[in-house]
Amino acid sequence: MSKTIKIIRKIIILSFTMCSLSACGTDTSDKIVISVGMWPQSQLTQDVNMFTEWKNRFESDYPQYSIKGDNYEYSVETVQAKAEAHKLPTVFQTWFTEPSMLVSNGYIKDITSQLQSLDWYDKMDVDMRNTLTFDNKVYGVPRDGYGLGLFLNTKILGDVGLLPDTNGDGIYEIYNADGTPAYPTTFDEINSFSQSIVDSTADTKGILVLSANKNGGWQFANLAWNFGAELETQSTDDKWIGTLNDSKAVEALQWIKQMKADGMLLNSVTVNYSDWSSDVVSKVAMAFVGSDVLKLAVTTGGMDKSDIAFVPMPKGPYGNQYSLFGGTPFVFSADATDEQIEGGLKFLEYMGRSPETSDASLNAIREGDEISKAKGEPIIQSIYPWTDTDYLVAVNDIQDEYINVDMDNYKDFFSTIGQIKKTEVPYYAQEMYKILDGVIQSVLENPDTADCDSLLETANATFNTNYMSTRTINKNI
Amino acid sequence: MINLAYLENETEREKTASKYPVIKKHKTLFSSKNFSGWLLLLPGLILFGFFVWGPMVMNVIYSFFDGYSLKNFIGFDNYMYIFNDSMFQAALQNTFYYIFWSLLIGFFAPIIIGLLLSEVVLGKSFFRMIIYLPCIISGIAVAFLFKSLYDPEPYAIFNVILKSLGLPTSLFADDPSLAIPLIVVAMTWRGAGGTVLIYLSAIQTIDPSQYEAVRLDGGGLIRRIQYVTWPVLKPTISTLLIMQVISVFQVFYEPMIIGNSNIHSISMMLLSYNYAFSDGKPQLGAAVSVILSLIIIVFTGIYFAVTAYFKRRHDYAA
Amino acid sequence: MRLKDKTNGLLNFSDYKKPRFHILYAVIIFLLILVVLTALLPVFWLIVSSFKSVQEINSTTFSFFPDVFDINKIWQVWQKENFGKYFFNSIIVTSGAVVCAVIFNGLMAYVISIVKPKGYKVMYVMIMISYMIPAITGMIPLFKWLSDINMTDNYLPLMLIFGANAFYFINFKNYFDMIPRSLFEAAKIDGCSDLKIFTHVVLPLSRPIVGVVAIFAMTGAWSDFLLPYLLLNDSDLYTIMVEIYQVQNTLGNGFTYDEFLMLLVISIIPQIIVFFIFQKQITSSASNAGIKE
Repeated sequence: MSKTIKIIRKIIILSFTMCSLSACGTDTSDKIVISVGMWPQSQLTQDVNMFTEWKNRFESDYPQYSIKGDNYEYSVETVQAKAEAHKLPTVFQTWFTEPSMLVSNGYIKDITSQLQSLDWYDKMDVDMRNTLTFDNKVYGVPRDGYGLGLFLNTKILGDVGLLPDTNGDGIYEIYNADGTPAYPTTFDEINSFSQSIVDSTADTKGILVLSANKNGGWQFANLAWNFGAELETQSTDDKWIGTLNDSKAVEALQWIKQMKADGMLLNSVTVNYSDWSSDVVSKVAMAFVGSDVLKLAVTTGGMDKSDIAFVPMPKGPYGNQYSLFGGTPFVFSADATDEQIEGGLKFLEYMGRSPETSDASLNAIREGDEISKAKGEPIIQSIYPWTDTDYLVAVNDIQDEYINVDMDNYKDFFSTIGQIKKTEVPYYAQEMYKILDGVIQSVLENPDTADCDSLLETANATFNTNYMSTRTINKNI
Repeated sequence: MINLAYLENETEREKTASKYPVIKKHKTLFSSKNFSGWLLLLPGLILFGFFVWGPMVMNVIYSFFDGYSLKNFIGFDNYMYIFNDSMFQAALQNTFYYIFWSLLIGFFAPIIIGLLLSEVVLGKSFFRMIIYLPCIISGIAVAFLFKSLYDPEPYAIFNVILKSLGLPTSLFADDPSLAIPLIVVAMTWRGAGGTVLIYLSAIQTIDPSQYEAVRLDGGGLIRRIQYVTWPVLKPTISTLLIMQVISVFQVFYEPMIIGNSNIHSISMMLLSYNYAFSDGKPQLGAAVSVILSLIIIVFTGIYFAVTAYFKRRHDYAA
Repeated sequence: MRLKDKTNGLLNFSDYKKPRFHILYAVIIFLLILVVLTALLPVFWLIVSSFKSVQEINSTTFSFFPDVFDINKIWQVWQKENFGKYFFNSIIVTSGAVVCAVIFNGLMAYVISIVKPKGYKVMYVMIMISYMIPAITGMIPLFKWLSDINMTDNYLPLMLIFGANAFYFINFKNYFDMIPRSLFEAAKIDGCSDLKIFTHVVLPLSRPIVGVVAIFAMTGAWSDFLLPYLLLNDSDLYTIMVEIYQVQNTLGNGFTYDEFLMLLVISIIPQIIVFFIFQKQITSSASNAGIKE
């Protein structure tokens, strides 16, 4: 008898353990649990406090939800694992380059109906919404937008004499006394500025040109556009092909080649976007970067924020001017239920990331700015993902309170971005960038002998064979 | 604890033991020995099965499908794609460059250093300790360290040294022809210490009287090395040779961090990792792993066949 | 010992009677000093650089030493990063790894070397095959399996994997092969089971090799990066190396490059300290590791 009891006991214990293990995944309480992947790391105490404050407000206003912080720093390696193990947070932030892959792998969920019921669908900036739309379904909410522009270290440029100091306060301006831009507005001007810098300084180079980790291709796309090229075109109905070998793209590549041959670029062949903020402190004077990472020059590079200027991308020889445009998205795990999605979207309001103008929303924006101020970060204008006029009025008011830089250094960028913004190519952008990386690296390695034509020919052929001809997903253009 | 005094009566014990019906005892001992042996082996086998053999088999399986979900069997399509990929061709070529450079730079240095070290009378343990120091530093830390040492800009430390010597600056790891050798230098810097110690202890087993014999015959330094040192070191050298080649096949962190996965230094393992985790195509990564494993097996097989052949010849001659 | 008392090695006292061999000795010492400098300088440079300010690191003027040497920076960066947490995590994983390395590999080596049940040769060959194939190749399927059975964000796999290591196995086996068989026969006649023989006979005699493997496992586990990086998604669970990689990846979210270098230095220091304490055992064990019979 004791033996059977022993066996029965073992079975009971075993089943309890199995139940408790599986219960980890199920919701045992009455509340709808929403795990928020944007939760800050535990070391960043100020941020954690702010998020906790938002969580408390949200839960008291909406008691049916329970917010759980689940700090998830997005990376390509880990998103697969988490998705396969069904451990992705309900809502998390990713890079704007990712939704295409996440959708085709089935990792994130379509939230069109929830956006429409909250009336946010129409308030979303159309371009940003399009980057998140696949087969007429929207898969995310943009956090903020960014556009590529030209970063200037005004101190280096001014010390060399390229920028004036009209009011003699020791800080250089980017406009001449008559109001015309003193900063470079064309590629030729970038050339001549770089020449002056290289001639007048010991080792400082002119401009940073990226070439690794798909950043090279990403940046090059914008340069190619400004020379008048299109990298993907629609040939016959619904058939898209890559056109990396466009003669204008070749010209853009030749610009890079010439700059390198003339010694205006860094020696390094693999230049990473992650290094840009360290490089612009004194190694290069200019760089093509996104408008959303400008604060890194202060926090990572150690620059003084008054030495930063950010101007529109230069015009190409044929008068084209574009700024590669995208938005960091919030996306929802494919495992999320409809209630969780609704709750997650509502929580975005309490984070200040929605088109709502409630007190909770506006206070959250203020609190975020307060923390940035306390950290000493430069607070610049943002590109907002929502187009609702009430919203824009409210946030612009807050912004005016907190901006702590001389907006003269930025005004041209923000006034033109609306007209010159251009979203990235619709298909296989990441793969294209990777192939272009190789092309740019070849040019940087052999600036005297590289054959830009054939490099882009080969790249285009590879791109079309490996990717464009295998396309299965349609985007909403 | 065994009482060692007991052993002294071994012959006594054997005599007494033989009086017993041994055969039956042996048989039961044998079968229970089998059973308990396998039982003890079980935990280790489970671990090996889970962490080593299972993944090896799964790599082969994944390589024939189109994803983790094993939905579509696509035969050799993955392999065809890989063979046509210029990155794979580069990685394959690079593997042989890595082996070449690591043998050139990393193989002889420890032997020579070991020899030098064995001759030191004062401070040997100090030298030994410092030489081993880089070995204990984490591989990824060493990769970061050398990445910043290999900075191609003119104001970086190595270029400053070159300039002060009147030499032209170098792009270091960004220079396509220098990428692999420099990475091998980093690997050698880290790994040589352990190899030096192995050679050192092999050298220290040499009986001084053997050197005496050669010296009495009038042999100089070269003769002594040729007739005494070399034969003793030969087996160690042979083992370490194959071990070094196997470890070079595994190079991963350095091309990732120093080389940024570029085409001039990419290794097979890094390629496999990038396929699986950067491109989101684990089936390609699995296929590369299979290819790499096959190459290693063939390589090792040839190596053992060759050494066995030479050993047989040597044994015949002896 | 002086040169004229040297009796072993290529050059001995009779050689050193001639003055030219004194020169040779000087050359030997000189070369070894070069080797030592090569070993030390990169580490020294890393330490020195980590004390620089971020502007100094990013500047175009080269300086070997930092302008200001503030020893407090170590403590400041430690606190800012809350390094103690990751340190503690690494200690946990490493301790578990060492235990697994010794117990599981040791047991297997014992069975293959001494117990030798029927079919042991097959097992031996299979283990040796796995020695040739790099562990990294198995990462992809292993990662998928562990994700499927919900073992991510869990230290157990990181520890257990050290129990399936052909290198440690070989070390144990070579050592056990050299234990006189008579000891086991005596023990068996005394009626000890195989397991008891392992715990009461083999382990006590194996202190040196256990030390060797323990030290190898300790260094290996502390430096281990790939599997922890793939497996640990909760940043509170990161081990030191994973955290360092993440800091480097997300530079700008709080840490500057000089602080990253400082973290790198801090991560190396425990290993160096352990090394100095145990250096005699480590260097002697490392040299024994390669010796086969």
